[in-house]
Amino acid sequence: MGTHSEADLGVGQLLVRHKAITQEQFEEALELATDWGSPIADVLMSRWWIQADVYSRAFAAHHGMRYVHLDREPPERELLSSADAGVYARSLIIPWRKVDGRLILATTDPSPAMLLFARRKWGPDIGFVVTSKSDISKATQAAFGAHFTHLAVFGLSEADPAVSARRVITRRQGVALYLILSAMAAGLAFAPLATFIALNAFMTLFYLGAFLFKLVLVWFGGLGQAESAAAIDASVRQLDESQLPVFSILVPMFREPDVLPILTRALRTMDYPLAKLDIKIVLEEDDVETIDAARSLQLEPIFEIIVVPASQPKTKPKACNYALNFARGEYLVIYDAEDKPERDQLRKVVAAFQRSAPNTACVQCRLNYFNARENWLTRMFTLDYSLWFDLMLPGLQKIGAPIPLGGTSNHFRIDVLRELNAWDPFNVTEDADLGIRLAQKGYRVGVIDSTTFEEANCDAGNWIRQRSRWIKGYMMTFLVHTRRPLHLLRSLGPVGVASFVFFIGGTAISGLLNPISWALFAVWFITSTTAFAPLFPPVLLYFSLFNLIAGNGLFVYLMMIGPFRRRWTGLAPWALTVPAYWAMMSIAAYKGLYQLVFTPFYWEKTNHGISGQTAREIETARSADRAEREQGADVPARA
Amino acid sequence: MTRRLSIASFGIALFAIVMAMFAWLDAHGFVGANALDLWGEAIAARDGALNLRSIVLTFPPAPHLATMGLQLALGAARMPTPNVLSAMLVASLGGLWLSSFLRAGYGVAASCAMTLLLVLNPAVPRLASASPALVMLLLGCWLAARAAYRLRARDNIVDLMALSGGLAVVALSHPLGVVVVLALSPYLIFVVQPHLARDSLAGAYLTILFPAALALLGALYVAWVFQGDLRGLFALLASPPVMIDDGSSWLVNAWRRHEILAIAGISIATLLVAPVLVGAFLANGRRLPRVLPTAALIACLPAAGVLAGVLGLVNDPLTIAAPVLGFGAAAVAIWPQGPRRAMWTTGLVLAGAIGAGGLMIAAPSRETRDWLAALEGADVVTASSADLAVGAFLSTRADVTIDAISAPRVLAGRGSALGLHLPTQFDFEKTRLSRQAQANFLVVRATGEAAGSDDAVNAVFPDLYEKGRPDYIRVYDRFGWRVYQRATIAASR
Repeated sequence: MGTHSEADLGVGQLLVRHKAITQEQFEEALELATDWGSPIADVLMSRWWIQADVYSRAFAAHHGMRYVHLDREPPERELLSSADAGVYARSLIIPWRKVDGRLILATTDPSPAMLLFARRKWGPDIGFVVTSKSDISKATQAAFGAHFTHLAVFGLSEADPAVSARRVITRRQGVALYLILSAMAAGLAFAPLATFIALNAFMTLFYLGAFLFKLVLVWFGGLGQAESAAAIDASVRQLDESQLPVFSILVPMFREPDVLPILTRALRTMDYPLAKLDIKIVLEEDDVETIDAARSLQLEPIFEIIVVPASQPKTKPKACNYALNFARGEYLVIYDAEDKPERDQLRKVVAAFQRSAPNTACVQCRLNYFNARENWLTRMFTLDYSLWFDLMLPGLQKIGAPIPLGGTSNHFRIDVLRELNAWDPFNVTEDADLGIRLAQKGYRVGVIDSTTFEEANCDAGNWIRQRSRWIKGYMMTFLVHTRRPLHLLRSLGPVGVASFVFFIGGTAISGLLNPISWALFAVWFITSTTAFAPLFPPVLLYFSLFNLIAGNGLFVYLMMIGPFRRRWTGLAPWALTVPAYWAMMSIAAYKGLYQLVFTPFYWEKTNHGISGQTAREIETARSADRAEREQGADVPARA
Repeated sequence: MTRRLSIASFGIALFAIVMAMFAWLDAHGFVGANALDLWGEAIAARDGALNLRSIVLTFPPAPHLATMGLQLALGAARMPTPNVLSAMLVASLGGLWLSSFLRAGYGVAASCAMTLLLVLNPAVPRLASASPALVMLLLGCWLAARAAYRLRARDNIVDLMALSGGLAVVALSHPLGVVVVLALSPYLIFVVQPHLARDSLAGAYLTILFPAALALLGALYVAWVFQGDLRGLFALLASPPVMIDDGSSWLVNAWRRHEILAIAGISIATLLVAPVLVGAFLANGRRLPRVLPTAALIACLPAAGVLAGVLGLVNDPLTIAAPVLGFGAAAVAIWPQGPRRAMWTTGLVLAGAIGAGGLMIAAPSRETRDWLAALEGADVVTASSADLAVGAFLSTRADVTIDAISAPRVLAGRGSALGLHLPTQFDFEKTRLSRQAQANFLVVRATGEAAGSDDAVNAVFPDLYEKGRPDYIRVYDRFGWRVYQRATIAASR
């Protein structure tokens, strides 16, 4: 049974005596606590054998301490300090009252370690009352909601305004843009042919560079993947479960009440000690529907509902920044509501961190789709993601270029995340931006072979909304990091800058330029006009032809081989239709550009749960939930 | 690093050996006809005498564009650029083979011996002398075969890309390459891992063949862009510009009569060049990841032979040796581990060298006979000598109207296209339209000969060869070429 403290054993026996838990549950909890290296309380609560307040009451009773409900008897406001708000939320200790000049602290765990910590922080004249984790969290949120909100919104822009998208374009950038456009206008007025040729040359060289760079990346990305995956697997097998760190999981949601049961089921089945999971379901204050749905699920204490106070900009990064204040893990990951990470993903991440260089601050897992074959759009989206996550990102990692992080399943070392002031709430592709900032600060991002399956967008309008946000975010990120070109070059190096230009800038630029190229080609193809001939001097014509045939062909080919690793060869022929997908990307690019100018911080919400497969899964999850409740596997009774 | 340096040194030594062989052959009057054609075109391109249309319409593009690029780099060097390219390719192949054998677990001595035996297999220097296109074909076939083995064994995306890329190189190197890709296609199912085929065989096929198909479709598209129709490209494919020579081997003549036995026989006979391929098939027993790709490579050869025979793509059985040798070199690396492994493979590679020599002696084309003679130290007069001679005659003359586009070897003999009026240029077009001779020199080929019928100068002045022109006097008349010089110029000399 391992070694457990007298207190743990005493509280457990008390709970058994009062029939709050069974003897079998107690014994199993002791065993799991040994295996996981976790306190018995966390084990009992993670298995949902006992409610947090019941345990805390028993704990208090066993130690002859007072138990308080902080929502009924809240802490005195004047005892609290905004500078310590993070400490309250993460260390689960909060000043409560002053009794006869003595500071009484409310905590979940008045252990010797906590006592030592409290003495160091508040001095020797302190006393304790016991409360529950959720009470401390709620009390902290109630007291410091505004403070946390300010930090979430302005933390980065106040600490490091140069890397914040709060100001999308600086004065200097505006002048540079104006000069470039003026030079182009002057060129078109006074030397139109030369200007057109120059623009054409720029487009041609840009395309050529982009496709050669991607070819190199895919090649490098494909090298040694199996060996690297095998090495991680071997490390996972050697992990000592009791040494695994606490892992925080943030799940920002907005108006997605239906997917909650699927999400909670997926997270419960992760192959990781449940007691070491610190899951935050991050909800917006005005999203009453989802908040109600989450509360009605009466989730076990490993889940915590964080309600983000209403403020602008209403973006996912702001919500995550807010929730970060409450995260207690050593590592932190973000999952979207409909995500289905592979069960052993967290273990692989821990193993990857252990194997990586000390400056590894993030491990990006692969994303792909569970409804890949639902319709044409989901197939194309799957090809796109397969190429990006299975080949390009490993390629970027191999050549040491910055990795624009994907929207979810990026696992951070939480101390580095805090050091960098977390996500930019004004940037609508905050993860890509964070990837660049990590690289600029000398941190490394690893990519591992573990997949999170998501719901592929199966609706064209919804897809364009999502993609327009991504492209707008890429434009923002490009503008933010090109404010200091020399700094960018020094911090990323030439390969890093090339990668930044082709991936961050290139995605937006190609989306905007493609329709121009296609229009030129279509007019020429249909009318056989010779009017364009002067624009294509021989060398340029060579390159243009090469790009047209080899470049586009290569992009089609890369899309084709994208799903090879997953053995989804059935998707390969669909790559031939990728020009239609590119056309949709161009629509999204122009929409993104429009929004960048007129509504830069508007978060174009992607609707999730619209896939037929998701609908079926929601129904299955509901049925399972109903069945479990009917069988009595409900919330543990209050003792 | 030491190993890489050693391999690089090995490659450099091979380059020197092959270049020495070319110098020896050149000194005895032999340069491959197709090499000369390529060189002439590269000279024309370097001197701006080849218009864009002519350049982009070349097929197969890989050897043409590579030769032109190298010619630009070499400038006015008087060394046949295609030979330099061939030597570079042979040296690269040697380095790659050596590296692959070492990685496959052979000892240094065995690896070096096998590499030397493969590179000095008589077929390799012969193919290298004929045209860099054939060495590219050999390289592409080796790359594709090596990737096929790896793909079947370990299911890695890099191998898939290497196979696709290798097949594209094969298709773009030589018309025979297109045929090899077509012939191999039905057997690719043996190369693809079952789980890939299970999801979608069509998808797996498409992924493997897409680059090669794209290359060919791209060539069709370019032909359409520049010619307005597709006939030009089909004509190129039907009458390949890169052939070994016109004097076919007796075996090929039988082949051309579409005698099935001869076709099958010739394809099987080419296995003599690389018996190690058959050996690897037998030695691997039931190791399916090795046996199945080997079977695919062997099985495609008769099919490629039949297709090549029907289309009349090759004039010498040794041409087929290019893919066979490439496949054979890849098969060496998959020979099963065992105590006598190196002995077997080295023996079979040696047997291949002997087989190639035998095939060369038993069924030589005219050029192969010339090559052998030159190699033995005899001075030879080849089919190209006439063009080279007139080129040499023109090397000190300028303002010359000549159709060196249909006879690029003349440019190889002259060393430059400057001072010539070629059918791709405006001056020639003026002459064609006015039918007035303007240049100081008019050069024409005998109308009675096949080559003469292609001569654009003959088309403008049909009587020129026989009757000359008023005000011009004949100053050269050898081997079916005549050069006329404006009389006033001749008199002033």
